Amino acid sequence: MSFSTDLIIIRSIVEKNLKLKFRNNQTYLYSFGFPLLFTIIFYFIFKPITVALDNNLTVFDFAISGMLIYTASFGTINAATSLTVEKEKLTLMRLDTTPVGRSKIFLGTLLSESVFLVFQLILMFVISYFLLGAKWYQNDPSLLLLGFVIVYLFGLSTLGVGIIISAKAKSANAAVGFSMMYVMPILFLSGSIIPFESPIVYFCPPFWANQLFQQVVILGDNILIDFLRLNAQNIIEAPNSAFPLWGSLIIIVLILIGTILLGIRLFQRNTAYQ
Amino acid sequence: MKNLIEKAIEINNLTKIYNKHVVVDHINLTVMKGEIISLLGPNGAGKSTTINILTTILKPNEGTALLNNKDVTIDSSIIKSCIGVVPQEYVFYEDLTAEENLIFFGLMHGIPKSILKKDAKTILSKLGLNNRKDKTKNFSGGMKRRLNIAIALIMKPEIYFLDEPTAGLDPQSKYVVWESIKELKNRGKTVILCTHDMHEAEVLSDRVIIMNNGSIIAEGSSNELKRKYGEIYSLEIIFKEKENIYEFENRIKSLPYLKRTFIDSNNKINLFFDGGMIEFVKIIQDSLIGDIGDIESMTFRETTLEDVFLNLTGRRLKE
Repeated sequence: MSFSTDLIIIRSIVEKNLKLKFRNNQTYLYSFGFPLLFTIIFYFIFKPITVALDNNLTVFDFAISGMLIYTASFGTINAATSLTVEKEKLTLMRLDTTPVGRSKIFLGTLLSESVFLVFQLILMFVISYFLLGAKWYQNDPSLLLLGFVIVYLFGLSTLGVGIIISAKAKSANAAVGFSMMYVMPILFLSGSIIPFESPIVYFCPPFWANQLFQQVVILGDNILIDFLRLNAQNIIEAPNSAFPLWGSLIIIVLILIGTILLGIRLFQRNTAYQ
Repeated sequence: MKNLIEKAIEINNLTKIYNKHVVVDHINLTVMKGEIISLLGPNGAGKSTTINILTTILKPNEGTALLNNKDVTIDSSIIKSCIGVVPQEYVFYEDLTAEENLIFFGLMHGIPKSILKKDAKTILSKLGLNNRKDKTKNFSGGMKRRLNIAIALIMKPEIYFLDEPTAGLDPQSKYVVWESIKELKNRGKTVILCTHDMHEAEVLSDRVIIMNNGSIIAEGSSNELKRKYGEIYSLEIIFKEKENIYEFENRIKSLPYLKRTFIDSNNKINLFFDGGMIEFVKIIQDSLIGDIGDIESMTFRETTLEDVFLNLTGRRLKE
């Protein structure tokens, strides 16, 4: 097959996956409904509470990063269910009897999930920053764009875990269950929803994205020259560590590459025909 | 004519073993281009495994399988571009429309979208699905079955593998599917049909392959098989009481022309004869004389593929 045919095939898989997603009511509930609901609840609870050290900022402004990370974490559930349904409904097997090849199926799935993530994040950014008035450093649009990239990269890194789960899960329900069992504890243990101090946070991927987002977007730290702040509960006055801020981005990218490669390998091994 | 000379499929000593259990046992088979063959056999006979090997889903443990002279284990990507598979289950995307499904699977075969759009309309119209523009999850079982086949048709492959394509269909839908399969033959396509339906095999196929316990136990046209393995006639008698069957069986055991008997469920006995019509009547008269209990019905018929299967394996296909 020619390169242009390959591109058409990958685009068709992306379009098909997006159609399936947007025609499924559960998508609206899980991927859009819950994050929006929590954001609005957070707005009413935390918007009136200003941060003691900076009267311009409210607890809501910091809580938004947790909500964005929470939204991006749905990549795990989305990727896990998408591939598990293909397995469960035997469409993967039928596709395997066509010349399409697994690499294009994976690429198509990852791209469709990436596109879907853009929709989710745009909606969350618009509602949080433009409708609910969350504040960021000097209202600098480039920082918001950088924040978008940080959360987006983190969202992509969650897809790999989804593929790992889909390699094992036998049904879509099991995939959702396993994903929730991973996503929710990791989110809380990372301190992204409720900040807390413990070495355990460093082992939870959402921590790096949340910390980076708060320092760069809300506090205006420079990603190239500044360092990671050491106290998540009092991030404004926290002392700097020796760890460069850009290192957090490297960690997110490494998790992204590592989990996707591992996920594809496990999926291929577990669904290989003997 | 040239088409019929070329080999579409060539299987040599093909063997598949699962957990030390031989599922396909050294089978040999050649299928010519443009031929329709039916694989007949009970569940577990090895039909689906054979098809899965030919469609590159499974790898054989031993032996070779060539499709258009390409080895299924080595040239799988080439083979995939010339086959169309209709699985036994409904395998398509239920949140897409029928047309969207057809176009999607056609694109996976590298067919241009402009051609697919036109072909999809033609195929859906032929299979009576052209009026449905809603999600396929709302379709009836028969419609889903037809869509399952339509997806393979749009790929326009050279070799079709149809696994129970008419299972659960009403007679009208079955007829529509049969017509589509016959049309494939007219277009010179090769079709491998897996079925439990003896009549379907008889009507559609040039050759019938009977499988049992992983082996091919007989092959040939349905007439050849009936001549070789069947008896010319059979008589089916249904008694009112089951005990009468055994008494009747004892009484007729030594009668001439009787090749074998088979006691079925529902107080039914089948007698297979190799004699002609006159001898037959004589046997019936002789065997039924005396007190053997009430008879509910008696059916006299020519041998069917079902009888051939029964003769070869000692059991009915649907057991």
